[in-house]
Amino acid sequence: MEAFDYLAPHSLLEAYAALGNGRRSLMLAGGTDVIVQLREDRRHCDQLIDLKHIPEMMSMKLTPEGRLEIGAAKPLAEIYEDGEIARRFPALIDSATIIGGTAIQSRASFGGNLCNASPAADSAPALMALAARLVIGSSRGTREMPVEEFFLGPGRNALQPDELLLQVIVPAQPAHSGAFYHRFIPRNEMDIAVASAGARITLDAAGERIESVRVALGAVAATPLMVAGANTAVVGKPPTAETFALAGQAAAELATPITDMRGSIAQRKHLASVLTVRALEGALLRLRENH
Amino acid sequence: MAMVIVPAPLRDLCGGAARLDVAGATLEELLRNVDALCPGFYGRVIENGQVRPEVAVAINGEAANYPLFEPLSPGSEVTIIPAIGGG
Amino acid sequence: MTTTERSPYKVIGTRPIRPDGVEKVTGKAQYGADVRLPGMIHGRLLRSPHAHAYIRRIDTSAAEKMPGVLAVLTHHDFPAARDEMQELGEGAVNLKELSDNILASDKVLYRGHAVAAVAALSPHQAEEALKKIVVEYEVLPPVLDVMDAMRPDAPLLSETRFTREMTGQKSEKPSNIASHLQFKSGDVEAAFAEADAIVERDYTTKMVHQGYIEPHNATASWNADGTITIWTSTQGPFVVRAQVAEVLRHPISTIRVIPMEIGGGFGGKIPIYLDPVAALLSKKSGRPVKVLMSRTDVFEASGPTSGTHIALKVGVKDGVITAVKADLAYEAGAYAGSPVGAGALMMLSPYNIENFQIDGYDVVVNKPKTSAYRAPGAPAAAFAIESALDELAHKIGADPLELRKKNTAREGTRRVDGTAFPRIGHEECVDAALNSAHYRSPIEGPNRGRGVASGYWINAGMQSSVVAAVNTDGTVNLIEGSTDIGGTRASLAMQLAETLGLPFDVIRPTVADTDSVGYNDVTGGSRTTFASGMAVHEAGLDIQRQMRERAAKGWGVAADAVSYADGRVTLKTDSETKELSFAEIAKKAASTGGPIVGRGSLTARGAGAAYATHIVDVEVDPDTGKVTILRYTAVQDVGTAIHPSYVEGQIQGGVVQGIGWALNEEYYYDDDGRMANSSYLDYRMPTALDVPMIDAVLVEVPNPGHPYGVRGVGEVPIVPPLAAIANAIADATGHRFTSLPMSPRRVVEELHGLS
Ligand SMILES: Cc1cc2nc3c(=O)[nH]c(=O)nc-3n(C[C@H](O)[C@H](O)[C@H](O)COP(=O)(O)OP(=O)(O)OC[C@H]3O[C@@H](n4cnc5c(N)ncnc54)[C@H](O)[C@@H]3O)c2cc1C
Repeated sequence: MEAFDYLAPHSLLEAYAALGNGRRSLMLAGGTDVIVQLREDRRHCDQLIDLKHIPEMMSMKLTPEGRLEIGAAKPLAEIYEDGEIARRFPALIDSATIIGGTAIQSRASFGGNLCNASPAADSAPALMALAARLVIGSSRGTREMPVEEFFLGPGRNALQPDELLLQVIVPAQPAHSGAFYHRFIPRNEMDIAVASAGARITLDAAGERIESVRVALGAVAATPLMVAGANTAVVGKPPTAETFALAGQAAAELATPITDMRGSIAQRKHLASVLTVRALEGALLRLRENH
Repeated sequence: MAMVIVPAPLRDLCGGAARLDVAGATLEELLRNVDALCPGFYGRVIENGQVRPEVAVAINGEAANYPLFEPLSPGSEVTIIPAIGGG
Repeated sequence: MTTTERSPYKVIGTRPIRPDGVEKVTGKAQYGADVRLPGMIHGRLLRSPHAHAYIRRIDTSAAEKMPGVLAVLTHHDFPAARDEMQELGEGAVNLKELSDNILASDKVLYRGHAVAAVAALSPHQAEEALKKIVVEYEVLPPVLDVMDAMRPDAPLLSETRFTREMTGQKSEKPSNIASHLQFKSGDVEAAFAEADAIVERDYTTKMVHQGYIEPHNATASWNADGTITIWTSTQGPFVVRAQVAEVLRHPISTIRVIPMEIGGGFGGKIPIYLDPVAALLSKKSGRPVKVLMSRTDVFEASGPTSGTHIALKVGVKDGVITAVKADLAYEAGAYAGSPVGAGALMMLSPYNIENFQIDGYDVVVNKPKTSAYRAPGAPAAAFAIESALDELAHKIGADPLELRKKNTAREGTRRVDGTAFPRIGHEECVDAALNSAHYRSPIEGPNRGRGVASGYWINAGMQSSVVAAVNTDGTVNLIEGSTDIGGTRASLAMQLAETLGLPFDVIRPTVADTDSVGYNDVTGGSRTTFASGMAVHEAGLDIQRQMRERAAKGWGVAADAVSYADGRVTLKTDSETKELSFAEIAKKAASTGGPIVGRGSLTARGAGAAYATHIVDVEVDPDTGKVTILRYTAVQDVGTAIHPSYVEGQIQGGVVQGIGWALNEEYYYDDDGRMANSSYLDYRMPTALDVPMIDAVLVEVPNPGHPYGVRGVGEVPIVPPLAAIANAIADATGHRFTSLPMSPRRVVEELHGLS
């Protein structure tokens, strides 16, 4: 590990100024990715900028309309320990509660999970299924984008060198909808997704036909993947096993996984389908339980 | 008399015999007597006055670091086995 | 659960809290990484990025100039090693290979092979300096799999290695097959010709690691008078001393090894890796030097156990196993010395089989040099034979346990090497399994199945030495030289308490360094509670004798007129009974002849082999291939369970390691010989959430070779799980897996015909 400086700005302005000082910067949110990478010489920097002293980064707000705004560095534990948020966004909690264990969750953030841009990041498919958006800021101003547009490749995201991820925004969820996220791991804990799937299902008012689904996959391509074809395959159909199998098929077809020590191409394509079906079943169950 | 159990790879030295009854009051004497019947046997087991590192001698089923002059009681069984270690 | 009758013992069989427990749970116990000495600096090693290469040149000049650097080391700093075998306490070691494995000289033989070392004021300075060392390699193609390595055209790890036969013959051409051994009896071909049913299969297992939590470490101080002190995590401080003495060509008496607490070993902490490096860095820098491995170093450059390939053919006639033909090929890693001999020797030991031919091949590959791992060699062999027996039982319509019972080895049965078994407990284990609540319960539900398997481990005796000093308050300091991995302070103190008729908590056990107690072999081979227990018993008898002498002196009678029992010395005459308690005699030691000290020093014989039979229920997710262990029962002949909780702990621990080996663990290599999963994230050992409560059924068949009937218990529990789980998966899915691990990937690919 090389030596680096530690900076702890107390405002966004200070942080932007530090980002612009010409030195190689890395951000420190929870540090559960970046510290490990620095120690293992997988990343290098001249200065590590701690985001946890910036109020905007640590805020969390549920608007009266049911929109959730989470500061990018907010620890996961503080999110899932909020009963109201847990009740309204169970799929978000599905992912927040499986990222590492209690110690990791007390430090780790959604912002770090997303910016680290691992194809297996657990928050990505969940947030994509929930149609979340990201607020990005720099000294030049702010911009917004859907989560699914944020990932460019393994370890690469859409931020410019002078930009920070400020907020994750989860919109109010549609009526008659339910969402679910899960991953497949060989063990029951302490593992990284071999493949994962998040799904949101919205039914018509009668609860008989599918109005829309949002299916997203993790660890089966260079980036988390939005399966648009799943929606096309099932829209207007009854929420049955046969219908879900069509969505599963669309997921498997879109997946372009690799073979590595965590899984094979054939296994991951197969899992893309299995996990999609099971995520839709889980989402449907939640929808039904709420009504 | 003690019984020597001849390991499969050394049976050629002993005309194919799998067991031999041989006299010997100590391990050394026994192996020398076996060698008289099966020329070359002694050298396969003993080197520089010690049991070769790749094999072990078991007396009555007990493999141990025996001295060459370990006394043998009549009716003892002596086996040559590959050396093994435990974890 | 235990199946004993009423115990004749007072302390043995109880479950006191271990003497080292409080220090360990409060974090006060000192491990190797906790060593901090005045002036101490930090050593790190440079490791080969290539699996197979010649070292053409090493230039350390730039590293030497880096800030904070006080010493740089290469193999040139080591004394020239002799190319000869030497018995160093746990199997024979080739001294040149031992030295080359610590710091490579001419060739690197696996990725992670150490080539140089740096000591600097901080660990980070040492790491940065390593980057400045220039090593010129001539890269060679690696050979990573045992079957590939045996091909005549395979890249050779060494041009001077020839296949050695037990006859002393050598192969004509150099080969990666270091040696061949054979066990043979009867007429195998004739028996196959007459068999009712035959199973013939190839079984493979991958290289796996012991997975101890604590990485290797060594701190050394090369003192001004030429003596060396080493603080380290080891299973055997005396073996470290012997190996360091040989590698450094330094007199054994000038080396003192202080064993720190040990965070797991399972056989992997018998060889040395860092100790001579720390010592020479200390010599060069004039400072104490601490060297630590990272987890990746541990995976890539310590001593895992062999990947194996076993071709097996088994025949039965009228329910009797009549013929076995087996070819076992085990990866030794970079240098010769796999546990194939043990695998071949133990494979058939639960059974009485007339006709067999077993051939074993010890094969070098471009992977770390294997070392012992819990019952080394036996689990892979049992995986093969116990899987085949399961298939045969199905073929002939026999209950798999009844088949094992019918063919069981008993007293007098000859093992494949020809030795006759003494009293053994395999049949009792099978009976207990047949009668267990688990085996009698139905296995119901889709995708569920049950499997059974047996296993054998030979157990070791070897040398132990203890001293027990009586304090004036009637307590006893027990000084032992066996490092305590699995609760042996407790199990040894309990045996001394039993011998002396004293309560457990008056015995104070201490693990001493190599200057402070007689020679002890390693804590390994399931020997410590057995062999050091015998030494402790001997020391206890020695104290008893002295206690009687002291009391007799005071009463003016001959020592043999008094008796010792229950911690008291008694003189009984027709007219009166006189008594003195242990504490009373201890208090007066000064006036009756001075300190009372007992000693026990011996080579333990009569270890007595261990048998186990396991039952497991699994459920297989047919869509993901994930196997869940629903229920696990391990029946084992444990001799006498000194501390039943720790015996159960050994059994449970062995089973958990077996579950990991069966389901997920493997060294996963890319084609260049790089291990791609050298972290606990991707090297998937089971966590507490992956295993159910493991029910240990202790069958107590006392070992006649030990005063308290002790048998080694630590190793055999890892032998049956691999096959038991494969058999359960076959029962659940109808698919027979003959390759480990049976990971979700392999299972789902097989069930769905994916790959
Ligand atoms: C033991 C362990 C278990 C884990 N288990 C899981 C798991 O199950 N699932 C999973 O998905 N991950 C897991 N992780 C990885 C990690 O914990 C998560 O990715 C976590 O969410 C990262 O968040 P963080 O706040 O710690 O990020 P940090 O490490 O602080 O930052 C990660 C990266 O993002 C950048 N960054 C952070 N915040 C911002 C920002 N606001 N703007 C711009 N750049 C930013 C940093 O520069 C850095 O490159 C695990 C890690 C460990 C150590």
